This record gives sequence, structure tokens and C-alpha cells, in this order.
Amino acid sequence: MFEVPITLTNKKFAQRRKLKYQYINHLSRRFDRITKKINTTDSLPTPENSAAENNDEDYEDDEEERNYESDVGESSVRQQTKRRRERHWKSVIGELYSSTETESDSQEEDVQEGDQVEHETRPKEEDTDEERKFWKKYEKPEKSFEVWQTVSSQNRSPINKQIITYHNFKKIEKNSLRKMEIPLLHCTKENKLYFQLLAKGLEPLQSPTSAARNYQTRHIITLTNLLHLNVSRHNWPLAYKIFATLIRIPNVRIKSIWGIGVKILDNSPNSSSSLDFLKWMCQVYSSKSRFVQNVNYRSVVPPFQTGSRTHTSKFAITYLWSSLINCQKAIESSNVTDNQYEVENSRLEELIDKISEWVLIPPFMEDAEVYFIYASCHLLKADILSRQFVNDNRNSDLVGLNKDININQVIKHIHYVKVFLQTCLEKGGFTIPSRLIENQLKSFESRLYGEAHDIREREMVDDYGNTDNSSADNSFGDVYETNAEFLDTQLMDLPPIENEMAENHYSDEDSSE
Amino acid sequence: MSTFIRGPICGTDNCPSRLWRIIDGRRTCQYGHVMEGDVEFNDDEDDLNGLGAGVITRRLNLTTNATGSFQSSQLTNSQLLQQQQRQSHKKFKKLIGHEAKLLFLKSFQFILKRQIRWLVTEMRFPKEFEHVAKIIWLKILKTINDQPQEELKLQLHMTSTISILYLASTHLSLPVYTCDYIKWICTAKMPYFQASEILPKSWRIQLPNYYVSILEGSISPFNGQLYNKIALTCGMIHFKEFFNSEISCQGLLLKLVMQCALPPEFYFYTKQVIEFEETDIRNLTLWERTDERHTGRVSNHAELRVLSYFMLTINWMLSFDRDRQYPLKWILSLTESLTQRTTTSESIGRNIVKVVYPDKPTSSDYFQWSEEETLEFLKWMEKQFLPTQIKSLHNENGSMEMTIDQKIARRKLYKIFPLDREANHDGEFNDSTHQLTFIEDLQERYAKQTPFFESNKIRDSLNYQEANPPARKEAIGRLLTHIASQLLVDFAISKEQLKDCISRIKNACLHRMN
Repeated sequence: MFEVPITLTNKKFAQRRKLKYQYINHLSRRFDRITKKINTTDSLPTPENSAAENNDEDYEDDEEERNYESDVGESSVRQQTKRRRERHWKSVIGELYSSTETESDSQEEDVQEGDQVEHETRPKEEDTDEERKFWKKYEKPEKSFEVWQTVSSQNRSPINKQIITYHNFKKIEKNSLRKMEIPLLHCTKENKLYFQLLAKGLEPLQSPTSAARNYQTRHIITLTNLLHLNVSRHNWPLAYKIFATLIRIPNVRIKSIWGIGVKILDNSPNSSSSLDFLKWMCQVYSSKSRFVQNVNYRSVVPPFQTGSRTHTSKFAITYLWSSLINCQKAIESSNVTDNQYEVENSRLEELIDKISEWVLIPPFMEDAEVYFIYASCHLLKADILSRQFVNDNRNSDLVGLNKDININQVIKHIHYVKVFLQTCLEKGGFTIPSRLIENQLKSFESRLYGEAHDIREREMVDDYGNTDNSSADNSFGDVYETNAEFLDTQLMDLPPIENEMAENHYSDEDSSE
Repeated sequence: MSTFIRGPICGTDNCPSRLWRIIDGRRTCQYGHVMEGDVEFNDDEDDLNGLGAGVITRRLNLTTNATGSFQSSQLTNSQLLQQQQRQSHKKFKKLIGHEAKLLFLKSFQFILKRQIRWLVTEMRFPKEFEHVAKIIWLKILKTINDQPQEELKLQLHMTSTISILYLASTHLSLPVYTCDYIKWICTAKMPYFQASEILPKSWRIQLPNYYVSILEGSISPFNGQLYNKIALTCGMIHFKEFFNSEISCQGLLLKLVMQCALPPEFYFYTKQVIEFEETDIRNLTLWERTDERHTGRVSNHAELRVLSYFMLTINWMLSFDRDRQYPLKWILSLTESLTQRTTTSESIGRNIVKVVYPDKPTSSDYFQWSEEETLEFLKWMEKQFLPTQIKSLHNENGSMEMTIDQKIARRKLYKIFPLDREANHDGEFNDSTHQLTFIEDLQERYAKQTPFFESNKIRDSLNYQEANPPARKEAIGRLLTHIASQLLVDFAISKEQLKDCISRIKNACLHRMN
């Protein structure tokens, strides 16, 4: 019923996946070819182009490549033809041929693809690659998903003008299905049916685990279902017990159920905090491999469960978000004079240190969301520091050199916020409410110089035109206590609104604020 | 000169230093001791083309792992390969051919011995049980030995252990049936699943994977597999010639009647039916199957015959009663009491058996479990199931090798999720709600029935005509389905098999009556 946190390695499933990816790859190759053809008709006919058109079937990949590089210099084209000839010879002579040239990377890839063209003669070499080849096309796992633009006007993008006719579509499909006939001959009846279902776009009702009979597997299935059941009933103590039992069974992959674990820990009192658990996840599963290579993860879409060199794991991001939120909550509740306050403040410092280390290494380095969190940390810090001024104005305790130092600190943090937001924007793929944040930063700055300064700024903002009426009015109001609170809630509200990639758990946390 | 990095204690000449730095590519401690055997390879292909464009710098990420020793974050490929090779060398001790078969027989015997020991100590089986089982095992070994060496077929499976035990208990006329064995193995009391874990380590390393997987007993028996295996084992050693093959039918009947909380008369009714058909109750003997290919009719198996007689008797008695002695209300309440969820050890055991039963329809009824039932199930998981699972994690040279790092990580995880977090709380909980024993539960169920019979006697003469035939028929049908669904799981047979068996017995009975 629910996704079971084990890997089912089975001849049956392996075969299914192989068929599936074989079919998908073939389809997409055909499709590419047709769309490319449409494209290239625009360019002037060159002898090379016409030669490519005259090529027979076996050189489809080559042709593709040629079209890619048709605008590169002529020398490369000549190289291409040379290579093609070589490969042709290779296919004629077979294994006896060995290239004496030192092969560059791209050429190696070519050879691989060449192999795959001759897949009827050498099926083994090619079959192992099908799935890997599919994933190789995408840098990040989420890129492999079909994107459906929803109604929101911001995300509207121009319609993809490249269309194919129904006739062409049928042709592609027919061709690919014909290609699949041979591998289907050697399949079990069940797998054949399964493939035909998938090819027609249907989804088989039976999940791979529903038919599992193994003693251990049955127990794992039972526990998983009970876990989901009790979480949905909000029976946390029981859910905790089930989870604790479940993770003690060997072979259970914690990577696919950590989200539930976090939720359970959040909801059960007097237990270790979910932050510890997330930290543990980050420590243990800090994978640095590129996700394409992880083909030995068998069942569900594997790349989402771990991180890789190209994409950040979800638990790492959740860890950052929830520790940020934790800091914010704790600071909000404690007074400035408290001992507790110091502890929380140092914790925020620690978090900032940690992120600053993280952004030096690959997956986080390129992740816009991590930079956004980084900026948010500094925003929080700036808020805390600038609030000191508001409180201390009444005590008039903060004067002279001390005051200058503090002002400098606040300005430093504001500067960091700007810098990291900029990097976040540069990395792309993550929309942020930059205007809102700018307004907030301004309000922080205004705190430093007292009220008189404020009024002028407010007028200035009004001159800009009321872009964000409510926030402008509120943040420059005269009651600072409510003002501060408002700012923080603003901070908290940022992620769910803007965060496209956010997963449910932290948007849940945020909405509960 | 690089900066110092924290690492493990140096330890050379009691050197207390924990700080290390790299001098000439070697890790050197604060006081100048060079770490031994710490050599880093750089055998990544150097990109010569890149050198022209600019200088490539490479940063070494030095991190400490869970034990505090250095772990070069990028174990180079060759180093990994070496490690793997070393491991594979170590592993390559598997026996093959005849030797492997011998070792398998030894392992099989070892597991059998453990099972017998458990039965004798925990279930208080008589001492003679061990001897009888031994004799049967010897007979099996003899038949294996008689086969020609070249095409030696062992034909042993984990169900064979159960059939040997069953045969031994039948010979001694112990009131133990297949349902008991199935319950014991499914609740992980008797060693059966993951039995390969209890083997001595050296044996398990040497045993080929194929045999190891047999000894894991992955799927619990279903669709009458166990009966087939018993019959086959019988045929293999010609059980009837040497042993007492008559099953203790009375005990089974009593068990069935009590399980359904039927009035005691039904015991005698069923007995009469059996005696009518089989001429003597002693004629119910085990079937010897000699044909290896075909499983034969299910009605050949003595226990299944008893089940069918039992079901038939209930059906006939209630159908022809016409509300005289067994009123409709009683039938309804009986059905209800059968479906009622209780937390006796019996019903918990049945829950577990149901969960692991490989045929789907029965196995998803945990959606209806009450909280207590779930708690009991989890308690069982913790006490019985997990120990059998965790064993494989603890031994180091097992098939699943864990590095010390992984172990530490696992321990940390367990610390985050301690199992006995609510141990105290649970204790109180248990004291307040006393768990019903089987006998208490049975008494309660019988006590619930008495009002129907008493009131019935008074009413009997008055509203005898009130009987409502269609409703009654339906109620009987529902009762029978409930009983049948329980029996199916308990005796690990499929619905079709039971149906087939009942219809055959029914025809035979009707035939004899005419």
C-alpha cells in the first residue's frame, strides 16, 4: 500500500526496468532526430548535411551529433567524417579492430553509442547501460520530470512551438515498439504485459511489494503500513515505537523514511530532537558521487533519497531550515538579558559558521536555496543586533565607540545578506522576494539612527509608490515591539511562498508559525 | 607547511599529541612522529592538457571519521579496489560439489537439533521425542545415501525439518498438529526463519549461497506445501511400515471445538460422522506420497479430512436444527465473538501468522487492529523478531560486512531512537490491564453463550414457529466462512483446497448414506 523502505532486487524487476528504459531511450532518440531535422532545414544545405541525410539507419547517432556541431568549424566536421568511417570499419570487422589513437572523452562516448546501435549483435554490453544512459541526460533528478506550468501568472512561459504531427508521433511509436519486439521475446509473460501497459501510458495497480511473500519482507511491509496508519491518526507514541522497531531491522533504508522520523520526533515530547536525527543523516549519508552512477539503487526514484555531487540532499536542506527556525523561535522567546539568549545567539553563530563551511563544497556550492538560507541567517542576525538599539535607546546605555562598533556589525550583516542574495539569484532556479527583503533591511538600518531618520525614509518609500503597502506601513510604524515581531514572521513566511522546490515538511512547519 | 588538524592520538613512545600536519606528504604529529602506513596515492590521471591553460590546485579534504582516525575523503579508486580484492580473497572459501552437500547436511542436522532442543525444553516434549526424530532423520539420510553419487538429490527444504518433527510427534501420538508448528515458526519461537544465523560462523562462510538461502526459509509455508512435504517425506522413508502413522484425531477435534467455542456436543457429533465414514477413527493415517511430480488430492491428508468433517458437521447440525436447539441469535453472537479482537497470546499469535501468510487477502487485516493489538505486536517484534534479525549485524565476518564506522553510526542512530523510551510507562500500563489467558478467554466466551440456551428452553415450546429460514441460512454461511478463514491461515492451506476437500468428503458421505 505504501512505499516500503527496502530495495527489492529481483530478476523480474531488473528486467522490467531494463525494458522500460530501453523503450524510453529509443523513443527519445527518435524524437530528437525528428525535431533536429526540422531545425536543420533552416540552415543552408552543405555537402555534409546532404551526406548525413543519405546515411543509412545505423548512423543515426552520428547524424545527430553532426547536426549538433554543424555550426562548429569545418575541421571538426572533417574529424567527424573520419571518425564515422572508422566506426563503420569497426562494425564491419567487429572486435578485431582496435583503435590505436588515444581517445578523447567525447570519442569514448561515441564508441559507447556506437555499441548501442549494434545492440542486436552485442546485447550484453549495451543492456547494462540503458538506465544509466537515461539518467545521464539529466544533471539533476528533478530535471527528468515533466513540467506542468500551473495557473500562476509568474511562472507563465512561452508555449513550446516545436510540435510533431500525429502521424510522426505514430511513426516514432511504431518504430520503437518494433525495436522492442526482440527483447520482449525473451521476457516472461507477466513482464510483457507490464511493458505493454506502460507503453500505453497506463499504470499497473499492483505495486512491486504487494506480492512479496518473504517472511522478513512481510514484516517490514506490515510495519510500514502501521507506521503510516498511526502517523495519519496522530498517534505519536505508537508511531514512535513502530519507527524505532522498523529502523532496527536490517535492510531497511532509512533514507526513504527519514521524513516521517523527523515528524514523529517533532511531535513526541521528551525524546531526542529531530535536529539530532537530521544531523546524523547529514553525517552518515553525505554522498559525493554523481547521481547518475548510483544505478544500483533499485526500486524507487533513487536520486531523491540521497545527495550527490550535483544536487543537495533534501535532509540536508531540511536540517538547515529547521535549525534556522529553531534559532529564530528560541531567540524570539528569550529576553536580551537572559543567559538563554546568549546560548541561542551562539547557536546562530554556529549555524552561520557551518553554512559558510558547507558552501565551499560541491553540492551546496551550486545550490541557490542554501545561499538563501545563508542570507536568511544573516538577516536574522542583523535583526537581533539592530533590535538592541531600539531597546537601548530608552536606557541610553549604548554610546560612543561601543555604539559605532555595533552599528558596524549590523551593517556588515546587512551587507552579507545582500551579497548572498545576489549569489542566490545568480545560481538561479530559486525565486526570492528581493523587494520585501530590501524593505526589511532598510528598516533595520533605520533603527540604527533613531526615529527622526525614519520619517524621512518613510516618505521616500511612499514616493517609490506603494509596492508593498502593508509591510511598508508596518515596518516603519512607531511601535517597535510589534514591528520586530512582524519582521520575524515575515522572515519565516518567506520560504513557503517562494520556494518552489520546498518539500512538504518544512512548509508545514512554517505554516504552523 | 600546513596547519594542524585534529586526529587520533599519536601513541608512539606514549606521545600524547592529537594534532597532525602534513610534511612532505606524510602525516606528522606535533612532536614529529610520522604516522605509519599512511600513504596517499595520487593515481588519478593528471590532466596534462589542463596544465597549459592554468595551474590546477587540488585540495585534500582531510576529515576524521567516527572513530577519530583520519579518513581521506577521496579514497582513490585503486585503494578501494585493493580493499575489495582483499575482502573477496577472504570470502573465497566456499565449498563446492560433494563437500558442500555434506556440509549442508551437517548444517541441516544442526538446525534440526536446535529445534528439537527447543521443543523438549520449552514445550516439554518427552525425552523420547529426540530419539524418534533422530531415527527418522537417519532413515532420510539412508535414502539419500542409497542414491547414486552422481545425481545426488537432497530434496531438503526448511519445511523438511517441520515434517520430520511432525512425523516424530505423530509416532508418539502427541497432540501436536501442523497448525502448532506453523504458529511456532511464524512467531519466531522455534528456530526456522533466518535459521542460517544460528549455524557456527565457519560453517556459514563455507556453505554455498544457494544452500544458505535454503536455510533461511524465506517464505512461510502456504497452499498446503507443508502437507505435501510431509506426505513426500512419508513416502521417502516408508513411514507406515516402521512407525505409528495414525494421527491423534481426538486431540485435534477438541482443539477445533474449543477454538470456535462451540458447545461440547459438536465434538461427539463430528466423531460420529468420522466413524460413520471411516468405519473407525483409527483409520485416519498419514498418506505416503511416492509420486514426486504430482501433489495428489488434498483430501488424502488426514488432518485436512478432519477439518472437512468438522466443517461439514457444523453445517449439517445447524441447518437441520431448525432453530430448535441452536437459535439464530446464538449463531449470530457466536460469529461476533469469533471476530472480536482480543489480546490473548493466542490471538496475537494468530495476528502474526496472518501478517506473514503469503496469500494476500488475509494479510492486510492489521488495518483493523486496535491499539493494544498493535502494542502487543510491537512487543513481540522487539522480544522475538528483532533478536533473530540483529544477529546478522553483530557478527563481523558475516555476509553483510559492516565497517566499524557503520557500526558506530548505527549505534548513534539507536541512541536517537531508543526502543525502551517508555519502558516504565509500559510497565504501569501492563499492570493495570491484566492480559487474559487462553482459559479465561475461553470461559468468558462460553459464559456469554449460556443465556441463549437457557432462555431457549423456556421459549422453546412457545415460539417454535418463528424460525426464519433464509436469515438462518445466511447466518450459518457467515459463521462457516469465519471458521474457514481462521482454519485456512492456521493450517496454511488455500481456500480452494479446503473447498475441494470438503466437497469430496461430502460426496463420499452422501454416497455412503444412500
